Amino acid sequence: MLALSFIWLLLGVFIGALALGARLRPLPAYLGRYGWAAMLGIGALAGLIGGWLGTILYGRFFGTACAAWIAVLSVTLVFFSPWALNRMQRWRASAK
Amino acid sequence: MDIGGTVEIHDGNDGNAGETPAQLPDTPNSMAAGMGQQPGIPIPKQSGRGQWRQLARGGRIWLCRALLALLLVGGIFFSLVPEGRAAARAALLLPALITQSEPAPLVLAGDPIHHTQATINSRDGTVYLDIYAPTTAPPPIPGAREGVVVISGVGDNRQVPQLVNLLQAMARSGLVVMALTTQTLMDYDLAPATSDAIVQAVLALRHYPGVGPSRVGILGFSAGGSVACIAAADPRIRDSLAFITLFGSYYDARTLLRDFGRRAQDVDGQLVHWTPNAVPVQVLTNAIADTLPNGDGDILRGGINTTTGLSLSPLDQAQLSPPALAAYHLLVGDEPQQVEANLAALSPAMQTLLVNLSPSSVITQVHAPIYLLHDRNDVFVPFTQSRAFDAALTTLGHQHRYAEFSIFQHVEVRTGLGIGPLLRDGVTLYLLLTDMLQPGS
Repeated sequence: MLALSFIWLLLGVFIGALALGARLRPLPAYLGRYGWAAMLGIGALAGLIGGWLGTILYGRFFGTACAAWIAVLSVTLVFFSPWALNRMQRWRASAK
Repeated sequence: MDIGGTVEIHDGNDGNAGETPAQLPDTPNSMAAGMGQQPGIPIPKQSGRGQWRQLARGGRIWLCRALLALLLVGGIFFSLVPEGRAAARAALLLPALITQSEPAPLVLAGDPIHHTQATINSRDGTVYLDIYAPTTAPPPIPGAREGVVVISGVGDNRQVPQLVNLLQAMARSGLVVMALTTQTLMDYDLAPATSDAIVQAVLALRHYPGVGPSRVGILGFSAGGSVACIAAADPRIRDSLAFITLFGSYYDARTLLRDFGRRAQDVDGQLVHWTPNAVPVQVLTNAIADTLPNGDGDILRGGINTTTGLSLSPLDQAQLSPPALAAYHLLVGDEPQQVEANLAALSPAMQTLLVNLSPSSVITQVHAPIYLLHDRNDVFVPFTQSRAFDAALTTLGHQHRYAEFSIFQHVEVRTGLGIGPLLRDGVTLYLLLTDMLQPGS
């Protein structure tokens, strides 16, 4: 499992790098000037958690597939969350 | 929301975006701003070379996005969707099947396994079981493992590396695999009672820890597949069997003997010369000898030759009874013009045996989906047997799939194959594997 965990970690980093390449860079206001590193870190962490979650739920065979989609979802959510937060703030302001 | 269209042109200062103070633009363009574009700034004119560079950069961005989308969709499909899980298993199992080894990705990603041996009793005597199973508990989803009873055909194949590799690979992909053999099969013989051994193995596998009782299927190779099909018609298991796969098996023992007798197979209405391997001749000789009185049976068995299959001196032939002599000529193939007469001259016991050993006699009682695989150049069992099986199942409207291959030599992968046949047959094999792995996914 150690080797698999390492693979999931690397997969997460790769997905984080893809997200940077795809310009899904989190807004600086939220992650600062080292947003790129945060993105890689988030990808790695999500890959690791996703892999373990997949192993627990579906078995070791499907850990890698789970690691992949959970990491992609995580980096995408990081990108979209400031936008969503902003929209929510606007909605609250208009409600008041 | 169009995120990419604007970014592709203005992301040159993207690396400095992080140094911009924290005010979030309260406009629909906020996403673009986050990625480096400042709304309202006019797009400068680019030189031809610069435009190409911008285009290349835009292409890279979209490539990354496409890869991310692919990973997302693929990851969800191969983990959350049952069909996807079966496809993922098949994808890692296929190389193991073709290379007859355990590929590193399968060993790394697959379950750790253990091997145990056991025996159970049946009407065919002791059944020798080799069980390969994951050491871990079945995952919560789908809750139970798929079980497969494997009959590797005649002979003692329990130590054959190709078979052991296949069984281990199947277990690593999450299946519980139970390979069985009996003394009859190990003696290169066939008997209808062997079907009871298979039924007992299926019943035992249903109660194996972690195996779903309705997720048990049978995989039979060569003559083992035909006997497995007879077992699949048994009322004790026929309603709950998940599938039955027959690889290089015969459909009808009588027409098989006819093909042996005329040394030809009927391909699309044309007789094509066909010479059987010595092993199936030996197996049929043993099976037929079981029905003969001791004298005849011993003479016939005494003529078994590991190279030609069967060969008796004129003196020995003269001692055989007419039914035994007719069987001899059919097995040796020295009277191709007399095949029908020789078939008619077989004793009632022989005729009954041929019926009892034929899947064709029980096909209407099999309820499980049937997958048929056959080597197009098979010299053990004519591939026309599986074609006839396929035609019968089609007529009956029975759920089944049939595939002919050129990458196998009977049931083993040929060596020195080109990429073309491997790809063509590999795809067909992959689709069949995916179907077989559905019950456990």
